[in-house]
Amino acid sequence: MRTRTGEGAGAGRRRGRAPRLRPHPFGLRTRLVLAFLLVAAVGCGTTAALTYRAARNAILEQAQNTAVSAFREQVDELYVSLPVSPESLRTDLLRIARQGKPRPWRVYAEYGTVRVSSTDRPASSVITPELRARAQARGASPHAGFQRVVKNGTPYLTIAVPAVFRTHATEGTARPTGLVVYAVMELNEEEADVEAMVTAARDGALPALAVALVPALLAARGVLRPVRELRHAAHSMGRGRLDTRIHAKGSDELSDLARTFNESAAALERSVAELRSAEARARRFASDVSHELRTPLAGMLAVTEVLDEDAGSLDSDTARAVRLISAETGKLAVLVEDLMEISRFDARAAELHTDEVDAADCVRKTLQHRHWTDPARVVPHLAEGIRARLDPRRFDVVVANLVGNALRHGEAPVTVRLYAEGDVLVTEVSDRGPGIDPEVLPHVFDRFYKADRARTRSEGSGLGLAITLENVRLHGGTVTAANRPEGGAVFTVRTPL
Amino acid sequence: MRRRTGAAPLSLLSLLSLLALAGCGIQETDVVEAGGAATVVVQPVPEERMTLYFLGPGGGTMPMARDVGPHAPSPFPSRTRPADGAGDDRMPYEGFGPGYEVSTGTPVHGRVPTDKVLAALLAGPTDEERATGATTALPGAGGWTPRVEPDPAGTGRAGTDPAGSVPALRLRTPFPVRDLPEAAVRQLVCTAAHAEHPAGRSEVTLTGPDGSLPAARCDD
Amino acid sequence: MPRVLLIEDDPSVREGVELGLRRRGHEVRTAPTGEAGLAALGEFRPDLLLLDLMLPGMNGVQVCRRVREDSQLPIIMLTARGDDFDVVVGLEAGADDYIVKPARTEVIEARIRAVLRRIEDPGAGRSAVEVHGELAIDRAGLTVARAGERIALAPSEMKLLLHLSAAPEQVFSRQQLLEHVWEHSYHGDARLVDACVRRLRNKIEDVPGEPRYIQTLRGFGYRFGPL
Repeated sequence: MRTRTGEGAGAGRRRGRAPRLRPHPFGLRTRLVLAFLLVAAVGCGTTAALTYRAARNAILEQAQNTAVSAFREQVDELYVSLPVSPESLRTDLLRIARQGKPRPWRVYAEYGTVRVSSTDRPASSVITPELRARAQARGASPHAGFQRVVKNGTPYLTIAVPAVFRTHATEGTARPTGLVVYAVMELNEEEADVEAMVTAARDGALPALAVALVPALLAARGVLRPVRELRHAAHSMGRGRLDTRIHAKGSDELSDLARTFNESAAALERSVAELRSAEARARRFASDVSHELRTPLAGMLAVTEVLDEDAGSLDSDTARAVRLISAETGKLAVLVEDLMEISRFDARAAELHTDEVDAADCVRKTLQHRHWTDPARVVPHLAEGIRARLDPRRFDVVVANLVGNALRHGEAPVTVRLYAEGDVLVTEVSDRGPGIDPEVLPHVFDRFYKADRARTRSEGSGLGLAITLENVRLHGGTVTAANRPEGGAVFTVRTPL
Repeated sequence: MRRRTGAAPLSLLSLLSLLALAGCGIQETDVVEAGGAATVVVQPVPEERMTLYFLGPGGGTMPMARDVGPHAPSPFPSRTRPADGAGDDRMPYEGFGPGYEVSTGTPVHGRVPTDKVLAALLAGPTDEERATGATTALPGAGGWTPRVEPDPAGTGRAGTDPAGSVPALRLRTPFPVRDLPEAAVRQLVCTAAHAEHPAGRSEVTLTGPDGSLPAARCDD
Repeated sequence: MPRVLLIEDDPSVREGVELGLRRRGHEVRTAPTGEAGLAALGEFRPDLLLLDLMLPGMNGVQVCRRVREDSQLPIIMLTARGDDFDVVVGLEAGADDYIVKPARTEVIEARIRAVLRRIEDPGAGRSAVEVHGELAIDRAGLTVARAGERIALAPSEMKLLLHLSAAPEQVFSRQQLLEHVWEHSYHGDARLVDACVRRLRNKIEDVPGEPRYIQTLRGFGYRFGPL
């Protein structure tokens, strides 16, 4: 059922409510701040990372270089016999281990099948086969080497120094002795230093980020304030305050936008003002015309009776003409009255003179007054005892127009129902006619709307339902038109009690 | 829109790669070469020792220095001390500096003759040396003494060369040389070269009953 | 047939109404201005005055006041709907009823008759003079006196007072009063009743702001007494 068409006053002024300030999860502000922070983070991060890298490498290189050269020096001072005696070698290793630089180290030696160390374990598990292979490489001149190894989370520096001897004090060449000495040093302190640097970098970067938040928020604010102003202004315009303008200063893109907005608003205001004055002129004209028509009509209407009475004594053509004039004068008077009424609504000059009345009485009197008392034509179902605040004259117009409309366009019997629904007075006028064409339904309350274009004039003025609608609105109620499922049209008026 | 979706991951990516580049903590490394080997002092001094090149457990040379100084217990296996016992002659010995003398009865008259050194090499490592893992690849010679002679092929550059040119010598072995393992050849060459010349730069040609090997030097 | 004086500036309306009423047997005199109307008043001695509110020079309301100064002549205003303010002012000035132009002659005549119709006396058997407090109402002679002093009441005021006092303490809704006193429809203009009540109170009440005789029942209407 297409009931809500032809909606009445209730939905009339649809006010745009202020748009709620939706929190934008990825709004402009968030994005600006994030961008700022990202730039700051990248900056801080890059600097910190590069600094950290350089410092870490410096720390490690220094430790390594110190250890390697110190170790080689220590090994250089060894006196050995060949074959190497494990006992004296162990003594030497213990001495070297004590003199480790920058820290004591553990020293291991491999000679043939002999394994000797400064610790209680003859061989170390952190010395990799690669380092061993490198140190024991066959060749005239083996090289020392070192390797950083991480085992169980502890970083170690492992150094391998092969021992060579000179075959002759002055002109001898260096020959490998087959002895390789290893030193193992924990890099705990270096790691602690490096970690301290990471901590320092983080501790430096986080406050920097926090500090970056301040300009980020300020910048976002600077950008967003005009945007917010613009939104408020646009919304205010939307609510009809066309004189809204934005304070546009500066020369950036946003102030350009603000200026454009102001120009558009001014243009809009101008054209709306023109439209309004044109509409007002048109309405005033309609009002003036009906006003001016009323005085001659008053004279004419007063004499129609004379015409009617005397028509019988005239020759038939003249009599018909005279009767025609009389009848049309009456219709013209009704039309002019309706036009006057409508223009008063348009000018908001219509006043509501409410009185507390018995609603059923009110409807009954309307029907009586119009002589709609034949139960075959109009069937009233009126709930008794409802007292309502109404303008009896306007309510009479509403009921009379609806019933008259039903009798004209629908089919008898017309049922008038009156009942209270909560604190709403419901007046329902239904007929047994064919109903209203769904295409026509949305327009039934339009002025001079003719359902049947071929029929140029109906009996009414064509303003009856429009006046009904305005009267109901004046009461703060609604009127709807619909087709009943069982056939026939139904008009429902709802007014506050 | 495109730019927004493009920029954020890009900057994130660069940030991440930077972090990765920087790494955290201490990383492992490969083996890094750090200068030459350490030079140790081998006792006894070169003049009072002879150096025999045996093989270590890894196959590399494992030189052994045997004391041939005045107080040395008997550096040679047997019958290396001359039986004639010219015993108590003394002669000046520069090894300890001027003013020192050593007995002419000891083998240390400058150096131990090369054939004696080679004999010691062929006799194999001592028990003490063997205990450290030293081995030899040479076949036993059963009291054989190799003959050492100047190499005729190397005559042109042989002899005492003040310019430091290479002396050449030939070793005549009683066993065939062509099938000798490379390590055995190296033992012979190095031991002979160092016995012949302090810097071990002599060129050595091995000649066995089955022919000669090309001249070689102890350079590995 | 009643004699009607019509004061109307528009010739067509004046002529049309005059023609219509005369056809129905009324004796009609017309005047185009208020001044001319007032002048004709003494000479013509009409039973009723039909008065257009919008007059050049002296307007209808002023004419109405002038008439009411010394006469209880029934007055019906001619007005156009929507001139609401004028209607109220006219009613306050003492008019008994009003007619919205344009109107058919039969409507005008019906109003004239209604205004002129005497109240049929419901208390025929009772004594001619009723006394309510200080108020003495002579239903037969149609006079009202307060504290012995006679009060001049316009026809609508008189009819309203008679109607209310005929059934003391009974509440009449304004719609009922419109139907019975003015012979309007139920849906007529209740301001007629309110204006008439105000005028009546000014004349008969000791303190018009605290009425004794004509009391208001908010939401229902008016009643006479209880004293």
